[in-house]
Amino acid sequence: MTDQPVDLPQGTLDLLILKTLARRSEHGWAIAQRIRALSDDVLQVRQGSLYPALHRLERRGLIEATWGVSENNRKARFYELTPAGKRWVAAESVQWGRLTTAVAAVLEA
Amino acid sequence: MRRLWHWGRDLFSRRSVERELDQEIQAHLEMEIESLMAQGLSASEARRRARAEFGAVDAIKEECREARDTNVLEGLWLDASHSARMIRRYPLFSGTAIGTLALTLAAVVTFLSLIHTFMVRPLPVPEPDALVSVEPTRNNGARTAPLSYPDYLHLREGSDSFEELAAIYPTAPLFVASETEGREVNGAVVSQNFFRMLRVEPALGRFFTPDEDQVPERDRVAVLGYDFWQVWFGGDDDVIGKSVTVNGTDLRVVGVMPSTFSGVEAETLNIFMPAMMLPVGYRSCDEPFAVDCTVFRMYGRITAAASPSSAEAELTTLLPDHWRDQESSGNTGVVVRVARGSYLSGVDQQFLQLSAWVVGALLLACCANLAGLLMSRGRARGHEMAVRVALGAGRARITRQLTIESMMLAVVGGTLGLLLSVGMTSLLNAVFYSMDSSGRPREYDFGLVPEVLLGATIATLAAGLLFGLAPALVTARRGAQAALGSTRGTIASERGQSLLIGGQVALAVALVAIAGLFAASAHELLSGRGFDPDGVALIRLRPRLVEYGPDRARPYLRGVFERLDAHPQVESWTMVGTGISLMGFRAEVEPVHDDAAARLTGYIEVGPRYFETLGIELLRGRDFAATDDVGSEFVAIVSASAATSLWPSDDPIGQGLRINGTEHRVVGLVDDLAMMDRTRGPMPYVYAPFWQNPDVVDARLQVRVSGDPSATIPELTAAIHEVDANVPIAETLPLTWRVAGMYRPQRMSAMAVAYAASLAVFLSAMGLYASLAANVARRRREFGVRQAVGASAGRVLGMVVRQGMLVISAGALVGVVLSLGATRALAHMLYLPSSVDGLFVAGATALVLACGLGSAWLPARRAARVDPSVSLRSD
Repeated sequence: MTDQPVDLPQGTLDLLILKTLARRSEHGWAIAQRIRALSDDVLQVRQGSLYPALHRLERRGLIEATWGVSENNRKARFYELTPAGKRWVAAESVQWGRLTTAVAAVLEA
Repeated sequence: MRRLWHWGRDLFSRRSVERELDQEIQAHLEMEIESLMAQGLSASEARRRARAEFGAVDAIKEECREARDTNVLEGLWLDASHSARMIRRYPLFSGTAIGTLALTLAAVVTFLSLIHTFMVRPLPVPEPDALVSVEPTRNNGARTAPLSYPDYLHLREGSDSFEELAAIYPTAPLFVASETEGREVNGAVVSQNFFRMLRVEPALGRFFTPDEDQVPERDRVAVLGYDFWQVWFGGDDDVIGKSVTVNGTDLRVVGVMPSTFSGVEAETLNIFMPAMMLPVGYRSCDEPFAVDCTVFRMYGRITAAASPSSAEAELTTLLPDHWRDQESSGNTGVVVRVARGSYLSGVDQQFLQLSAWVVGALLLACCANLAGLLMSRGRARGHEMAVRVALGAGRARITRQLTIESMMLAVVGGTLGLLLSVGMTSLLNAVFYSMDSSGRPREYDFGLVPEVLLGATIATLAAGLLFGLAPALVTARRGAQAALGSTRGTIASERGQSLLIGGQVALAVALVAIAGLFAASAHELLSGRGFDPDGVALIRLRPRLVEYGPDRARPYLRGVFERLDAHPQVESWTMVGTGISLMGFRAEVEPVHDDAAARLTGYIEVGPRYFETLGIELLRGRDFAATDDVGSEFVAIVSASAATSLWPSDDPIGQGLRINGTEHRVVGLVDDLAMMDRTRGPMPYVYAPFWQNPDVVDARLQVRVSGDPSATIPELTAAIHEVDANVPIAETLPLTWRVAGMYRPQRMSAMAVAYAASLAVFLSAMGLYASLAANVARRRREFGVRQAVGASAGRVLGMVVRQGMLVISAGALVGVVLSLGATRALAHMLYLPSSVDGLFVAGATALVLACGLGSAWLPARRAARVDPSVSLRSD
């Protein structure tokens, strides 16, 4: 069971992306790699589906994009959190923590 | 704010956003490939894995666009540019679609322009919406009846609904003389408040004063029309105070109208006289200001508190006492309408109604045809659609894109049609509306106005939706099915298309048949049935305008006739007193030795050789002679239908006949003038001698000349002028022009229907061709197989032609029924006996079948030429 990749629950992709970006600004491919690495390959994000989410977040004003150069000298679009994005991550993380605690409590009871 | 900025940037730099999206995804894929290769995969394997990991690029891009929220507008832009590419990629289809749309919408816009000019266009004065026409009504159904000056005063003084209620006699024939020339121009006799009602200001001088409306014939003043001032006085400011001689009376010029206003109707008003000068402008009443001299029409400007209906209600309570208990020819009530458009005769209205039907049918046929074409092209583009569906384009998206494509076609076609319609209206104006049947100039403004442009836009967009939406839905659905490998729905839509083509064929047959009948009717009317209009010149002599009585007019007329006798080119001449050429007034006639009730017939007083000059056949008896004069026995000639009606079983020659109470003896019988439409029999006519009317003053001459009458007319008028230069000569024109003017609506109907018919034939032929061609293309393999197993090329050809002709014949059959129904419905516009209908319907059917055969033949030949070996490999 633990070996199998898990599909993301609805809405969590946004949070994962923002949390990733909370550390530092990243381009799309790196975000995908990072989510995978941090979750020990459990969370499988279909790479393509990352981009609509990024564009949606940009549209909502939570992240901002600028063109930059990647580690291996490739032109890439870097995303970073806006102040609104930072506030949103903080609030949502708390929400998420309460939700998971509650769900876990119910499941273990 | 940020949102707005994003949105704006995305919208306006759509290309760069799109490019960024490409670059971003490209960068991602490259990084992934690099990383995979670093793990030891081969380049090609890495590329495959990267793409697989990423997912369908197009679908994701689409999702990104949607996520950016600018999708709707952006998508529209994308669709539009895609559509433009598609339109360019199929030039033959697009050209045909745009061409037929342009021709159809041109007809629609032209029709709208006509409707606007004749029914909607306001007068060119300030605040025209408050201007109303106030028209007396009569029990005999006359639509515009005039009224007398005292009755006008009665209504004006009693009513509170009007700021101004003005009287005008707008068709006053005014013979204007200067030192160098004498000519009849159109003018108006108006109450002094006419100008104030219009709210116009004089270009020069002043208008009439209230005092000039008081005493008959005291104030001999005139206001000139702007163009008249320009032409006759060179636009000279010194004109004020100069005199113009009108109908022999000198009038002093006091003002000039502004250039913006030329008249209340299509007749240009060149000279205005005050109402008190009516005796100069109107010579037909002995007492011009008596209650029985009905000559004026009324226009008013209603107050802000009143409406046309409230004004009408009020006026109805104020009618003069003698209007009650009127016999049929007197005024009995009033109608108040907003003054818009222009006077339309009954036949003009018929023409517009017919045009509405024709234009509507044409628009539907055009849309049906294009819908059919789009459907068969949609099948041809099935592959493209399947690919787009597979790439993640939603059905809604494809529907939208296809609809935009047809909207673009419609807009281009509509724009061209609009330009075309400008040419059409000016052509119509020049050919049909520039003069009336008396040869007098008329002016209509057919210029494009916002209302017509709006109508044109609505028609264009409606057409785009009408022909675009259904095929778009079907094609998008089919695209989705094709992506799933299904071909369901093709058969159903093919059946739908056959129906569309059949419908067009039916319409084409009906329109061609009606066009033929109309054209034949118009030709028959123009060439004259029962008379011969060619080579006849018309000249009107109006000594009454310069106040000649019979004692001066008779010697004058005899002098004129001597000149005509002496002229080498004159073959015969005659004249009409009461009545005009070919058309008379009404008279009450009854047989003397019979108790039969009196009846109304046409009545004309004509000179000797009238029938000979106009080519009307004298069936029995004798013509009038110069000796049929005031002193001799009153005689009459009757037309065949009048004779049958008056004496069904007896010989009319020698019978006694009372005409308006005076007894005449019938001396001749002439042929009928069959100028009536199919629903009515020939008008019965009774003729009396010109010289037996002791009061005769004016005369209308009919002169048959050798050669072209329009070339001879100047010589004739010059010769007549030598007899007495003071007598006005008017309405000089060839009889053929008069006849053409009289039958203008019929000619226009024939032309409009012929235009629609040619377009309908073309549309149905093209629709059939396109549908069969697409069908053949799809069945290439089947044809190949058939030929491979031994079917001859001729057999395949026959099969396809049969398939096409089945649809055409079924449509034609419906068309035959439709056209026979149409000839019934349009009987009042047809002037040929119904026995010829079959001939025209048969001809129309044959023509449409032939066109159908032609358009089935081409794709059939292609089917027959399919090389079996090639076609077996084609799928």
